[in-house]
Amino acid sequence: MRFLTYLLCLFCSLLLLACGGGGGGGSGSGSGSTPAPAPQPQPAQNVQTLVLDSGPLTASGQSVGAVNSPYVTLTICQPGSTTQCQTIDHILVDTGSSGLRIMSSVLAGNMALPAVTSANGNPVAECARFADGYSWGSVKQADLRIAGEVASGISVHIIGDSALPTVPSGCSGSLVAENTVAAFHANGLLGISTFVQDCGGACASQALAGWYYSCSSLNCSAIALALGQQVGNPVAVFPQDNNGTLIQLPAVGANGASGVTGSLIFGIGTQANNALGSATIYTLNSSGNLNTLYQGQTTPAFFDSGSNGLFFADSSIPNCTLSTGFYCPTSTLSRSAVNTGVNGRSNSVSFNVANADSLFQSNPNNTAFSNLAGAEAFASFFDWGLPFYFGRSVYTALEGVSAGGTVGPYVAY
Amino acid sequence: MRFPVSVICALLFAQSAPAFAALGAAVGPAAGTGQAQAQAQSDSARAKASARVTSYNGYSVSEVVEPSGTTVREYIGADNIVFGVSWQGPSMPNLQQLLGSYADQYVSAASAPHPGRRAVAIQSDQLVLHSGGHMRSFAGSAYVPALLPQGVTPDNIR
Repeated sequence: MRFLTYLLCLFCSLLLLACGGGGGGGSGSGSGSTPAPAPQPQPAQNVQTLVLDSGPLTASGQSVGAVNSPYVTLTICQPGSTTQCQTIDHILVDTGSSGLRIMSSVLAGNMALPAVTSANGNPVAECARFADGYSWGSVKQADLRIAGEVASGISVHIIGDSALPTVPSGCSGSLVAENTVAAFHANGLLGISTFVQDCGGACASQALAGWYYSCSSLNCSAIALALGQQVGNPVAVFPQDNNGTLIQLPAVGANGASGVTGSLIFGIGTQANNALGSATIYTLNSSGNLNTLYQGQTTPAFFDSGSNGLFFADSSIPNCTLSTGFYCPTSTLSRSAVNTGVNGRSNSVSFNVANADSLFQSNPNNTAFSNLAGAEAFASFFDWGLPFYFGRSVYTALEGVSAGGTVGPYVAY
Repeated sequence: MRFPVSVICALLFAQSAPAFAALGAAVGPAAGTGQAQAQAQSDSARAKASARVTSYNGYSVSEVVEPSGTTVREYIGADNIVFGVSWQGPSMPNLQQLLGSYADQYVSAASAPHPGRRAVAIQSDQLVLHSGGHMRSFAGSAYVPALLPQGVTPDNIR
């Protein structure tokens, strides 16, 4: 099954390449008197299907049991090559981070990608730290091909690289390793947040423990790394459709759904299928947040397709005993919160909070739930996770560039 | 009102000892175990950043801005023991250093199969911890319920 899919995908991507690469061919057949029209660049195929299934299988063949996880299939290639490529499924689409990260265990043996190297010629490694753990591995160069788009020569984080078995203390200090498919719930991560780089200026100007490292055969030490060498949002590197993304998912009912698919569309206002239309723009601050007013309290808030629930603090809602981390009210609650952008635009969002234990027990085959919520760090954040995206078109505009006439970072819906 | 006190305290503390220790451990040179010494060594780099100390009724808060830009606060009781920690900023702090002997509890709780992603919430008799956020913007806090000084509530630990 997997093999057949792979072949089909390879065939499809070859076709796409053949289509996307042309545009100006076939001239010279017209009459001698009329000059051939100047070749117009054809718009790239900019839609990639999102699949919300139960996720990839682990190394031991078990399901990771994912819910509310939007996956894409993408292709990585040796830099400059269109033949030395590998198509990888179940890459999680994450608007809460930036950068392409691939688990080394799913890389084919012949995909020996060239290393990104530091000033002294040693290979560069990275620690990506999340709120719940860390991922450690090497930084390699590759071309990313997704839909008809290409990000050439980008830095890719290869997580769990066996060539770098010793994790520096500044990285392992995040305590929980997420270096396997089982721990990561995905074969990789496509980080498409509003930030161009994952770390940014802080890592370009100084060696920060817990970010980038230069590794000799003996040990790894923290280094500063230029912006262009950092792992970053691949969309920013596309030749076109490079100012942001649009995620479209269908609405799902109160009991959830299985087999849900949606669209990841590249670019904002660059083609007919990604115009802002009637969406309202909410600009974000330099931390990628806006403000959300919930139950009389205003907290920073963010939009994160990589969070599989809505996470916010509400001490009046009981926590689950089985599905720890999620809320388990005795009956489904209707709630609302008001988002206010840095630009002052404001909007009330209604949502439901169902009993997660009941949802999972009654609907064991469903992998998409719009009413899944849980507790966030005290009142630190309101995390608009994937449930927010159902039944909406959600635009994520990159920092520092114009998207549909407004300079990012912003979210629009 | 609070500002002058904090300045005075910062000056006082700057002359005594860098106010960094792990959760549940004693602050300053009084702690003489090997573990505490190792901890003090690993903290020395962070202590280069000047700690701002603010005194409250029955406890004090030592605040450091790490090189990454993340603010880390330690809540210290009158007995000189760190009873709580909190963080906020673009990078996660080093939880191993912050949680000290409570790190093991965090690992077992955070490693348990949990369908929720991105947010960690631990609520036990020994440790209460919340961690959340996204790349470039994290926040969280932790405290030991048994060590909370009288009159101090979890709301004080931010």
